[in-house]
Amino acid sequence: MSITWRAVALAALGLVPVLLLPQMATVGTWLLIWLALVILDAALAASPAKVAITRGRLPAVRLTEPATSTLTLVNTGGRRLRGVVRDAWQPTAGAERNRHPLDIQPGEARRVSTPLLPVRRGDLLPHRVTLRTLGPLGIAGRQRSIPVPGTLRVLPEFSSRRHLPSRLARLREMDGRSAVNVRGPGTEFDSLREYVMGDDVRAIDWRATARRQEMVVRTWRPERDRRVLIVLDTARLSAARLGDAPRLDAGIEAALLLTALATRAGDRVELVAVDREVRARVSGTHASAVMSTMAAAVAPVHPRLVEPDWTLVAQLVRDRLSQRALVVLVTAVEASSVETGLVQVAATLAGDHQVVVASATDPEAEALRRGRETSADLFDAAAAERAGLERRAVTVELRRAGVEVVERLPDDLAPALADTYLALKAAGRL
Amino acid sequence: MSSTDTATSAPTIVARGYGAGERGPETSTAAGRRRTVTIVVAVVALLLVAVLVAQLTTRRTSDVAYAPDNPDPRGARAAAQVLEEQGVDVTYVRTTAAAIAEAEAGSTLLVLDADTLRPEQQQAIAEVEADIVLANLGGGSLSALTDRIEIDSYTQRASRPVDCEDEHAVAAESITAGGAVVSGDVETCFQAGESGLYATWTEGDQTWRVLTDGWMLTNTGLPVAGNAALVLRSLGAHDRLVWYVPDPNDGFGTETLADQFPLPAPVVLQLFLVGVAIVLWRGRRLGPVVVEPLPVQVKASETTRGRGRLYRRAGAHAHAAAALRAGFVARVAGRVGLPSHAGRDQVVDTLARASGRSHESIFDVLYGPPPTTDEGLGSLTQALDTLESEVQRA
Repeated sequence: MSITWRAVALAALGLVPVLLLPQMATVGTWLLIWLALVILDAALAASPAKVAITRGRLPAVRLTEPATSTLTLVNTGGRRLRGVVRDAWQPTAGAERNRHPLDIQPGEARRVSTPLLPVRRGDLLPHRVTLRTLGPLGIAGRQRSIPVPGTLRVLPEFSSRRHLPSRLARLREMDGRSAVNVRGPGTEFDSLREYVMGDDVRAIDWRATARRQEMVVRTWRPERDRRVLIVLDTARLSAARLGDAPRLDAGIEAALLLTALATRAGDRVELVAVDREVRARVSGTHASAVMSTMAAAVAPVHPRLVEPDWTLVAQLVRDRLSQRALVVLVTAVEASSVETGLVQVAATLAGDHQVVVASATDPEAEALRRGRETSADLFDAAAAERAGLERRAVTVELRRAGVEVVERLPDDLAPALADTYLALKAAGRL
Repeated sequence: MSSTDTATSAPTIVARGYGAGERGPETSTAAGRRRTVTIVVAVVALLLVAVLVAQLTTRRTSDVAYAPDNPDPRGARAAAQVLEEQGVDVTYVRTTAAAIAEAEAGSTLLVLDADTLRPEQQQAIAEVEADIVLANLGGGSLSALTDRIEIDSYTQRASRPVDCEDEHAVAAESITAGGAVVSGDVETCFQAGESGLYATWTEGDQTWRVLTDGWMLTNTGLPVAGNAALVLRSLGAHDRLVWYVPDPNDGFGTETLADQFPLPAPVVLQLFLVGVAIVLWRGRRLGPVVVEPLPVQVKASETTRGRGRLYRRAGAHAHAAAALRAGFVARVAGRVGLPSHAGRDQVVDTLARASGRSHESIFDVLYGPPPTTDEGLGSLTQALDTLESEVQRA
């Protein structure tokens, strides 16, 4: 049951007879008339129960991209349905214009579309669909809220993809197709081709030159078909907010950029998101589908306030990888990394694999360290300095164990990790 | 209806909690309606109980001083009851408007604390046709009420014999009273100096009496000496008595919104009904409010700030200074080529060479006695910053 502005206007209209005949009886009579009309109108309204509502398919969208939620309403009752429908979503789905007027004849159907603009990664859920039908006079109506399930999967924004073209260019330079040859212990012999001006004379293959009667050079290409395992830490420290987004989001951006780059470079990328248990896993996906699979897999992953289980990570890595591979631990380097076991596990893994630890740092830490305004600022600066020293100690320990450490501000983490990958590849350390 | 039917149709409330990071399941509309009915029934039952309790516990007496329904020592229920037994109809009012409405000719208007009334109130009372008894006067002014008397001094409460010709005073023989005394061009009795504790005069048909001490009316003061005779005779002159105890919040004579726009009650009621309709119109939401399942996120710098606060509360100046010094050395080490295991002497040597300062001043900055005050910590920080910029310039 609900009333509209017309019912209010009708009540206000009662002021005319009351002013002309100022008696309590006038007020009472008008009240009775008003009540009778409101109840009658509500009774004559189409029943909101006799409407079949179905939700259209909701394809996954990338964060900040618009989506559309469609509802199909079929009037299964015998009365003309007039009113309004509200397709309610959780606030971060950005369903601003979610109210739609309705006018459906019996047996007919209507489709209403609500534009969505998600502002949060993950699985966004609709709330109930509320249907308010109005009576023939339009002064009162009936209302009902019906759950119509659906899920909008919002993929990570992958804003770091703007760094991809420059990194791919660097990758091509390393490749034998480019004029630059890279010789190193880890690069693989690719092919022989005719010498052109500018080639490194050290790359001339004299034996082939003698056979072919022309100058021939060897070309090299970086190794291919290496395996990359990205371990995404979703535990306590990934919940820390750096700037506007949690640390995990910076890690996801870095993981996606590395996946895109390594896949183009011909390597096979796997991912596992883990805290005390495995939250998401991508493996054995074909190169053409790995990006979309990975984005969909990490989309619903959210930080949890638990301690990470690095022993489980070591176990996972041993299970997944039999030969030498690149293991990227996307986590946080903190003083507590020693107690939680990150350092020990990374050092152990570094014996069998190339291990990279990627950590997004807090942009506010530097500002805190430089604070000099009040005496409280000085103590904060001292605390920031102490935290920095502790992080440095952990980093030194990791490096000593042969682990590469990439510590950057959230926005710089993804390109820095990509650069580290390229450097390792160029040096043949994969 | 059998008992099993009752059991199955009884409303049930299902409690559903939200797990961490999960959405609560949708409650069905039927369950929601049952819950609404339960809430409405509970609210109505509570209201009924509240009204019943209020009815049972309401005092039929008040605790207003000099009120005719107050049985306390400061009240005046005794006097009012005696008057009622004598056939006087006592009407108790708290507002000036009610007092002037009730006080018609042929009745008595008793005004307590008349000097505390505002001039407009006094003027309105001065215009009534009833006989007037003023009681319990204090330090205020009566100028708007009457110009026949004025309060000019105070006296101790004591027993005083009659000293005038007024019949009520003579009947009382003596009274025990004190407080303000009045004088003027009127007959005054029970005098202290030139002024009296009791005064009376007539203006046309209207008789005025003044009992300056309100204590005589109270349950404690009434039976003392001849107080009762004087009070009861003064108040019982007519068979209708309007007992006016002024309410300090009485807005008489001040303009209110209702005074400026006088509206008949039915119009006000209709406007109220329109207001109710607006509330019903705007109050019904189109579906429930949707809440966001909020993620757990903590600002990363909070831990650092918390640690800084701990240092500060503990007054750990030395500890903070050690952190600042160590951080400084770690930062400049790479720039000036210091190994991480370098000792004090090597650090001081290298930095002296890099900055061009003396060994002593650098040793003092880096390894001098730790500061113990905020100022000491401030100057140390400043010295470290200066040294850092010098090393960077070099």
